[in-house]
Amino acid sequence: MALQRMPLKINRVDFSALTERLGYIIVYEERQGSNTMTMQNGDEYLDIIVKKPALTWRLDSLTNSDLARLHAAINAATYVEVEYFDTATNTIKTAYFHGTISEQEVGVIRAGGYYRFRAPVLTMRAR
Amino acid sequence: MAALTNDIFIGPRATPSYHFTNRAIALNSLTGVFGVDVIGNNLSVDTFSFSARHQFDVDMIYAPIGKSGYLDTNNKIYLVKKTGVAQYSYFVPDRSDRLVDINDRIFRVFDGYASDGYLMSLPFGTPVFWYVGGSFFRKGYVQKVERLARYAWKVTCISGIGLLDGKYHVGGLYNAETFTNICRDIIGGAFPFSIDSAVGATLIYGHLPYDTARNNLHRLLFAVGAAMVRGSANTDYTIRFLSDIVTNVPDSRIALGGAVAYNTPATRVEITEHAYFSISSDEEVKLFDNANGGTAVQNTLVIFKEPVHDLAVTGSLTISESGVNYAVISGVGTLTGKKYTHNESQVILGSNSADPNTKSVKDNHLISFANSNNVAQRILDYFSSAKRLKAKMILQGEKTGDCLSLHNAFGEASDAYLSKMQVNVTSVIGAQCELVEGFTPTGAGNNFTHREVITANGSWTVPSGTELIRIVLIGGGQGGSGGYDGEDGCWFAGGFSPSGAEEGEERGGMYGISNEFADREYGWDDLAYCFEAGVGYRNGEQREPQGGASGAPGAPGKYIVYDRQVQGGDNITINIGTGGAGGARNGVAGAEGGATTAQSSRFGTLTSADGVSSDTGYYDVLGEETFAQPGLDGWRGGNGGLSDTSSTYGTSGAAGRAGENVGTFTGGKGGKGKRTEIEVTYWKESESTTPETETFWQRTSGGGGGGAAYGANGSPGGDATIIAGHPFPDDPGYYWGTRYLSGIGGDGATALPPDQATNGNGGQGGNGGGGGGNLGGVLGFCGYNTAQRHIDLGGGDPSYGGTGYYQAKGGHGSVGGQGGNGVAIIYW
Repeated sequence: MALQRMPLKINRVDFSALTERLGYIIVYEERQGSNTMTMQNGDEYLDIIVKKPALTWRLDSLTNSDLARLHAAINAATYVEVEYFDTATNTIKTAYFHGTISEQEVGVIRAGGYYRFRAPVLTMRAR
Repeated sequence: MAALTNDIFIGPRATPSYHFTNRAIALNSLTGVFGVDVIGNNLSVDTFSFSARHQFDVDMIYAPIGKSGYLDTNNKIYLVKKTGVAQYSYFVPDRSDRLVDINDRIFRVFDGYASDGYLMSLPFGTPVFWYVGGSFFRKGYVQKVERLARYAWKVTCISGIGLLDGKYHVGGLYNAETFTNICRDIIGGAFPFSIDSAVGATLIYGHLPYDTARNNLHRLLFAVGAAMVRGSANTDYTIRFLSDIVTNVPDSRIALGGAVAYNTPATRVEITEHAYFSISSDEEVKLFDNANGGTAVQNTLVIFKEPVHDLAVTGSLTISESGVNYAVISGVGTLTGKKYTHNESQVILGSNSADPNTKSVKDNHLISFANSNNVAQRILDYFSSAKRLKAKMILQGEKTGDCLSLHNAFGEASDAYLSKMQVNVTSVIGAQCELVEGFTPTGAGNNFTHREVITANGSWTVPSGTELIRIVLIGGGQGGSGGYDGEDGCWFAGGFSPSGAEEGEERGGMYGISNEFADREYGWDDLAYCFEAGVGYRNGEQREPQGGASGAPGAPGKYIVYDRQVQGGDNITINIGTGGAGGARNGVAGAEGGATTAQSSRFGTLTSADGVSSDTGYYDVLGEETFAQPGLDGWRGGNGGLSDTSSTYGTSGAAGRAGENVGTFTGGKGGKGKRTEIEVTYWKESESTTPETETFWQRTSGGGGGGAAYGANGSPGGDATIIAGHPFPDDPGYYWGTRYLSGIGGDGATALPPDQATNGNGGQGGNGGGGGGNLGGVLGFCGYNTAQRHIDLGGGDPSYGGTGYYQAKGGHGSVGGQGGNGVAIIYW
């Protein structure tokens, strides 16, 4: 049975195929205001403005052409539309994220002039 | 949990020019500082500010690929516009800044490139409305706009009070003017506000200078004890007394930490109260002068250092507008006015110990008799006991000026007024707060709104509900000094004409003017030399016998002001001090007036004897009446009239001059003169054989009229008379020829005493007596032979048929006027 792919479209470019081997990690970040404080009765008040998802995707062995497509997608705008699987709602959602790719180390140089890059990491934070 | 929604509207609320929401406002940038000083020491300007992004990534909606437009349900066409991102298009309504998608949702479109003028061109004073969670939170006015980055702006706003810093108020002098009227005059149309009726009806007494509207509003609020608290979207402020209704704030909304700070307790307050009024002796001051070659001014504003009245101009200077503090003038000349009399006194509460910690208020000239006690009590209460708390709280509707019940930083239960908060709106309205604990705002409004003037001995009952009264005790004024007698009329000392004064000689009031024939030698029928003599000379100068000077006015009664705690129903016994009797004539000082006292079982005996006299007196602001002023000057007696002063050979008898009038009382008329001519034959030289005939004239004047005095007319001067010849009593061979006698002077009038003064004023100075009129003078020729004419002075020697030499008497001065009886004035 083929592995289920975690859906991932960035700027409407489908990168789902690249999630086949390794999926992405979702974490929900609490964004807080300056009114977080401990109250006189001991209660803690967290000034949470909103919780937003952040995706981390380890990109093992992307080819150079895949990597270029990824760059183009995340750099199309400061915030690009991303379709992803949202664990909190168990649904596929679309939101705007800002993405960055970590250092890209050439892993394997294949014949024919294309490269595979060793373990760059894509990090995307929702707007 | 979610951020509270913030909506910032810039411009008129109904049609704002800009609207920023949370997604445009930087988190933690929307902050404000709001304050109310619970005793009115400061009138702070509230501020709030925020940073906002003007440009976003455009909210995109997508056209179907390949399509060039979109038709919405309202049949409105939107055109596709290519963007820099080649793959996608978005709809932009033609010449509009809003997007509408196929679901009719509206998105705000921002031009990708904000112009430099965006937001920077917001005029100062543009209204800004801040809503939190859909409810009105604050209103402000644009103070400044800063550009933080290419698409980021910071807008700082101030409250309506901040607008008053740039607005001037001309001030004024107020006597029972309502708070509302003055407040509206100060604020004008700067911002909308409302006034609580209890505050608005408060009557104001005193002075506001020409100053910024903010400073004058501060003075007004402080004097009354009112505060400006947040209003609504339609009313920036409500002006009211602080309420003592308490709102509880639970511990769950107060952060740990905070602080409690203690004031160094004040033990004494000194409040200066002010009264302004005008009197006839107000000092005249020069306010502007370009008369000496200065350039003409045009609509120039002149601001006075102190309030003045009775403005007057000279030259071509004109006044187009003026008040007690200013005038707008044009032209060339001088501008003068009279300074209002400004009385100050102090209300002191608290300790009389050797080293008190004293708080003073001196320079608010709206603090008057009406409110000074309240101000003093309020200041003493605050500075003697108040503590300042600091706490971070989550607000749920609390605002500055509210009284909150909470636990302070040490966990102690406290009731405290929220005086300041620094607000940051995130998922809650968080605020760093300052509160004032241990102080209850008392002493608002006026202490005294009624008054009664008591002029007779008796008892006064404190009205029900009254807890504080002011008693002003004014003692009887001193009697005035007696007026002085008038001078007697001029007289010659012994002898009779022609043996009176030689030429140039002054003798007994008679002065020889010339002696034309002194060096002539005559025959048997010699003619005695004749002379001209005017009567009424002193020190070589003919002058009128002086009317008596008025006596010195009496000093005012002493007065003293007491503030006393009382209860309704208390009886106060008042004894009024009698005005002192006037002094005897000729400058005898009047008697001191008696003291006015007030006695009550609650506060004992109070007396005006412990008070002071003042040249300006005590001004009753409520009744607009002045008491305890120095006495008035008496009337000077009128001068006696001269005899004829002429040394020329007139053609008619010289009448004496009338005595001087005093008010409606007239000086005596001058007596009539006589003039005759005779032909005289004489030998000019002793060896001469041919007589000569010459016409000589005699001219005698009537006596001067006596001067008038207050209450009486002067006596008339006597007419010149002719007495038939009379022999010498011891030499019948000789006899006096027809004698021409000058008129005697009229007596000066005796003055009546002035009326008794009132209101504890000093007695009027006694009135002076009129001067006696002068003897008539003689001019002409006299001789010794049987056909001679003889000229004599004033009545003439009775031995020779005259009526007697008579010296007109100066009139008596009067006793001084009685000082005014004292008065007691009670305010409650």
